[in-house]
Amino acid sequence: MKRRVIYSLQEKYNSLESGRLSTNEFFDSLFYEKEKAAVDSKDVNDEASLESILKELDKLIGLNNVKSLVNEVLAYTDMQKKRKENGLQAQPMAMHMIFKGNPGTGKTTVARLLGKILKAKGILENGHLIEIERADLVGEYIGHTAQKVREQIRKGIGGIIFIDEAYSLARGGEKDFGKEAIDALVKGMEDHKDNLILILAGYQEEMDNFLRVNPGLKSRFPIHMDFEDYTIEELVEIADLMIECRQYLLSISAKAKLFQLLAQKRMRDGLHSGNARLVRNLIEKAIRRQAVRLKNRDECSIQELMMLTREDFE
Amino acid sequence: MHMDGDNMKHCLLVGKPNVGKTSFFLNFASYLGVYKCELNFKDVEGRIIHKEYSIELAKKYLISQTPFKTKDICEINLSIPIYKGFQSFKLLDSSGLIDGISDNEDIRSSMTATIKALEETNIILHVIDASSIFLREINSISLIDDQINRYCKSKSSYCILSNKMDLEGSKKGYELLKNKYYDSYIIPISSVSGMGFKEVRMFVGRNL
Repeated sequence: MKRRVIYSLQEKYNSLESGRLSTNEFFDSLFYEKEKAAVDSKDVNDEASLESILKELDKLIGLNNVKSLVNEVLAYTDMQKKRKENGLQAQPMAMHMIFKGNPGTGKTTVARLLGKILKAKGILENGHLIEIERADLVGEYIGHTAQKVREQIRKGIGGIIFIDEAYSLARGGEKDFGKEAIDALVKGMEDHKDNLILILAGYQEEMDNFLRVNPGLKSRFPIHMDFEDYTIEELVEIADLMIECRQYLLSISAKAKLFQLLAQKRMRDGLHSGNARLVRNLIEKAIRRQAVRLKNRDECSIQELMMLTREDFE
Repeated sequence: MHMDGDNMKHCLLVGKPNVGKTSFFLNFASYLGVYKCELNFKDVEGRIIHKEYSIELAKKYLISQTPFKTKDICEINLSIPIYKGFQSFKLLDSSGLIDGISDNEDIRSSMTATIKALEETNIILHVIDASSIFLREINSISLIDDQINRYCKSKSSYCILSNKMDLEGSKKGYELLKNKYYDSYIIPISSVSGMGFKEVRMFVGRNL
């Protein structure tokens, strides 16, 4: 590799000397090569990080349909690339998505990871995620809405726009500007379909209802993904992962207590119990309680600093 | 005092023709206390021709008003006092670089030698004639200066010498240079009056 560069540099010197290359062109070609080298090395970095992001995705408990979708998308882009190399037609895929599921089932987490993956894959330029809600889109006077939507789309270009509780756009009746916001959004996402992904997210029933009322929307979002509620076993697995991430340990009796707590909450609050978010809140609370418990001790062993016990959970 | 060439850092003067590279080269050498210079001329094929001159004679022989007087890379061994000792380095003078393609074969090959030296040298002093910036002469600043600046900026030791500060119009030219190359270190100098030599010595000394 190195030798090739020197060789071509020598070649350049020769053409400079023989008058085939001007000094300006010589320097320009050097700059060009340098930029190209920088871009190439960036590609390598992206590939490496793609692997680590995929690992991160793999670590998420459950979400098997999401994982298989990501696989499909990656395979599709690889194939499109190969087709292009062989002179066949390659079409970018519209990747607008609808995420349906209860709170705490990983919709935002997945959207964020998707942004990173698609960036690493070169489908999106930046891969950033902007989370917006009704108030960011719907204006207060005539003409205000289109302006607001355009602004949000401009911010989202190169990344993902994530609208949580998207059905709130359709709320508000006849005179509401929500409808206008939807129309403007649809236009924006069609205009920028190769460098912008729009994700509408919300509860299962409300989303279904929303799409039924706006039939044009459904066909524009080719990818529908259902986020199932986690089973209690999965929630405990998630808890294990979170605790590991935070460098804590869970005693066996604490784990039993956690299981019991999760089952209790689910019985009481049903669908709105919060899933993974509930787990996170419970763990954070336990960590706080552990801190209080150890506060007055003079010396703590590492084991004690890490261990969350039964009494920390309530 | 004879040192192995590989251990010594090289310091190269580049710029357009007639911006005063050679006159700075010789005056700076005499400022550093060299009265006699052993000039090593490196011709295009890389052969080294060794000649010995007094600085005064060398000036007469090497400096002229006609562009492209310096055809070959000349080098001179110098030393700069650093802390308690001296550090030697090689100062290299090069032939001027112009935009485009020259129709003179000799000039083309000496420009190629200059560009090669640019690639190999650690410390680069980019000489610009501050007095002719607003004129349209062969030594006025142009695209090639931008390219030299961009190319050398990434190297560790690079500074611009805004030369001919003793001439009229050079103040304005210096201001312009400061704006244009705001991210490079610029030293106003005059190779005739010796202005700025101390700063150049310190710059080179820091980078040895």
